[in-house]
Amino acid sequence: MKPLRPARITLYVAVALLAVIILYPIYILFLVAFSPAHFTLDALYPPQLPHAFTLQNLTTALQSYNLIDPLFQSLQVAFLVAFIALGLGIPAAYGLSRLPPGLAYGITTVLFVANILPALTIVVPIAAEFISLGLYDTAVGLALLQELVVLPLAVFILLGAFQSIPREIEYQARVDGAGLARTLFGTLVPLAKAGIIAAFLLSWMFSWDEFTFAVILVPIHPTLPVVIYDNITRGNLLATTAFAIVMTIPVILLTVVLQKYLKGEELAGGLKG
Amino acid sequence: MTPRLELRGITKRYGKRVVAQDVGLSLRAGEFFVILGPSGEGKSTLLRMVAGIETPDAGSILIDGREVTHLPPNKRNVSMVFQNYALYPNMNVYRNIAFPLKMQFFPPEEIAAKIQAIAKTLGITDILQSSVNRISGGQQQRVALARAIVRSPSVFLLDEPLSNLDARVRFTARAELKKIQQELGQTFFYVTHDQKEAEALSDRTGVLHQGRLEQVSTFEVLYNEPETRWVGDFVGDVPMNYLPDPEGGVGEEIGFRPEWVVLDSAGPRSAMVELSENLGETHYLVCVTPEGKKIILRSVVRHGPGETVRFRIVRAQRYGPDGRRMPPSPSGEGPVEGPLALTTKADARAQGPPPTVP
Amino acid sequence: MGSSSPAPVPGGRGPPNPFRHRLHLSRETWVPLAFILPSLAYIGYFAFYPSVDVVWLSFQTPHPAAFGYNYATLVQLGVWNAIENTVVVTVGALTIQLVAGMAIATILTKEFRGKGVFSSIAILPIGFATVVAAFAFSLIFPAVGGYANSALVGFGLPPVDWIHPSAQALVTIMLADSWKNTPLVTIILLAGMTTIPRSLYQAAAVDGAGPVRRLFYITLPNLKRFIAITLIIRGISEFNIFALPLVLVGSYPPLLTVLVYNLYSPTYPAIYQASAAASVLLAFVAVFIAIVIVMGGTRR
Repeated sequence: MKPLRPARITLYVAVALLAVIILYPIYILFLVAFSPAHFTLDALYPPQLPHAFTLQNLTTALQSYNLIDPLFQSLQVAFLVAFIALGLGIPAAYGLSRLPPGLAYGITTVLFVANILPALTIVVPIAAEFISLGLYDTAVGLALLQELVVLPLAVFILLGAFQSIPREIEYQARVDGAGLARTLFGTLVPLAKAGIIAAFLLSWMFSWDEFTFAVILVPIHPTLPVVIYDNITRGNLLATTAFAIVMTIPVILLTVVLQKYLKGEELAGGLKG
Repeated sequence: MTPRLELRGITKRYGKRVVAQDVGLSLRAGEFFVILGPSGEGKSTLLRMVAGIETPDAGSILIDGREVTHLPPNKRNVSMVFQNYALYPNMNVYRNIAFPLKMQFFPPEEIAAKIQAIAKTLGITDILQSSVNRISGGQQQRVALARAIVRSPSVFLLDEPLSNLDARVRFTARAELKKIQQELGQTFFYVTHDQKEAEALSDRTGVLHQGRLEQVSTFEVLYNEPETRWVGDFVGDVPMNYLPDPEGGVGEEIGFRPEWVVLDSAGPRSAMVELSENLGETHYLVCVTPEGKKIILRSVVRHGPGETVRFRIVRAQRYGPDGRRMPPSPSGEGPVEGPLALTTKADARAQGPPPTVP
Repeated sequence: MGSSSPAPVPGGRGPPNPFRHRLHLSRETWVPLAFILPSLAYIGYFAFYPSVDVVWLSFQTPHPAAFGYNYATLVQLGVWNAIENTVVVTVGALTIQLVAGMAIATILTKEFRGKGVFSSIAILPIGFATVVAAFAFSLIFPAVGGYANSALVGFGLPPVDWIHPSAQALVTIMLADSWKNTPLVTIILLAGMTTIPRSLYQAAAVDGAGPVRRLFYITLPNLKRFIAITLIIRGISEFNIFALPLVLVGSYPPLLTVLVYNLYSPTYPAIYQASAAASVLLAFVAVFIAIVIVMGGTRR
């Protein structure tokens, strides 16, 4: 076996170091979740290595706190956000891909301004508005606001997907007798599948994570991030670890299952053009 | 009889660029019509306006006498083959061909029967279940063609359908296309930049230059009686030769093809050979005349650079200062300098009908 | 949709409709526009209207006092301090994320054993929600005890209060935020690096440039567009950083967003002051965008 060159050794040391730094907080989270409290939260200087394993923390938390309602609320909002992103985003991206480049660029910029506006700036006046509209503390209301951040990104990803389809395919479908709607949904949408899935996932994951709009708009029927925050402020740290784990697992599963759609080339969207 | 397809005064601009200028055309049923012109000068746009993908700024399009200028493509009863074939990549060959039939709500059994028949004609029966990404360029071209002819539209639109094939396949595909068109007896509106295709395929050819139709006629007439100097230069293996017209006024010239010249040591004209290019049986001679004009002549024997050749023009067209063809000279015979003596087989082309005033 | 267009002149020889011509709204333009309209209407109602509303509200007051009363109150509430903290966190976190993202992306362009595993680890934090990341860091960096201090004490060093002195708190926020967001930066920079032809590096190496000079003369100049995108995307998020500091260190030291939230809080519904603070935040983002646009404009 040939000896490693110094550059190689530096590389492996850097890789190991970075891996440890990235994994450490995750390790701590799981350590606290699956160790008896007197080895973790109750200790002033807790040991870095696991000493005992328990499921007690999780079972207690799941029994004594209402996890189902926030979980359901989070799921509901996330799917709403993802579907609205496609419902508004697919036509918009298709339209943009068919406009003269100058006009399309201007409209994309306007969309991104909405993405840039601070959530807190928007939510302060709109909360009052939502009370009179009956949208306050509803999944729909929250989804409509989270959509502000998601829609421009979704349009951007979808635009890239539509731009990569040759125009002739669309013309061909029209000449072959398909109407506008049939061409879009029967021919172009299947070809933009990868981009659509990427946009859906990204929207879903953003909503799952979103806190600012949620903490102000759905105080009575909170989503998981808000519940976690509430429990931290109340000092229910063991329960928080349970919620944190419940919140993380779906995302990890989604990411693993649909990993191939979360690549740079799908997300880079309209940048390519 | 109502023309199958009629264009009236079609004009289209992109900003300042004119891609169609007052184009008027009329296609008979069953005609193979080719639009010939250089790339990027409006041929495809014209085809797309007929398809309904683009809308003309002015003018109108009639299919079977029906005004369709502002109708969407799916209401026009045309079918189209694109240069890149535009096969639906998410469907296999069978479903690609079935698509236009499904759009017209044909029952599945009828679709299957039609596709089997078409596949047999085009020799693609064994790839019907293949993915369109896994078949060769020649097969893709046939699939695109099959999808276009599987229904019976009023007009077939073909946008350089052979240009993505390699040279060898293109030759057979061309013959096949002509045969299919004759068997179907359908109207083909075909766009190409390749004059060999126009010559081999067309009943009539329209030459499009900077959005204008320069000439519409059989290819034979295009070659022998180009309406403008531009057409004379564009059509043919080499550009037309021009020399001042001894009988004409200022700026008037005679134009002649290399094979309309007989090399003759007693001929009235002379030129010095600058370059000689051997092409099989014949040599192309790039020559300079005493007036300092460059012309291209043909010879069966070799002439080296620096040699002087004498020749006479046996046939020519006259062109005015505006570059347009003029009627033959007042004597009615055209500028002919003695009888035609065939020197090579290839000169047979010059035996075409004598120049006539249309 | 087609029915609303002006009826075509029979034969089409007549002059084109002058109205249509002046607006340049051909069929090819208005059909796509119709597809975009719902999104634009939605954005207009839910983003632009509230933004204008908040600025208007910020100048309303129950007191018949002077113009700008709400903003004057903000100064007493420590808005300058909040602005300063926000800028410090933004600059610090962006720096950490760019450097770390660059390092990880560079590693991922190389071939080595275990690369697949490492690339999965490198993007793992994306899967963790911001509040979860903040919570994990709060276990490591609390005021008293915790895992960081347990390590320090293990090495015989004195423990540190990670969240009360302003400086420590801001560093803790930067670290947690960088942990969560470096993967995104890595993905963007890695996408950029794959666009740089390998032959450029080989040519530079032949010309005698070592790794450091290759970084400065080839990698960075060719990544300019991607770094700019990263700065814009992450920069704006850093101004709006909210959940993470709230979970990690609470309301003090205040950031602009936390200040807005404190004022907004339903038990103290100071909507006008909250609007004023929100307007400051809005102005901040606007200034940042303006700077980026101006800088981008001069660079091109």
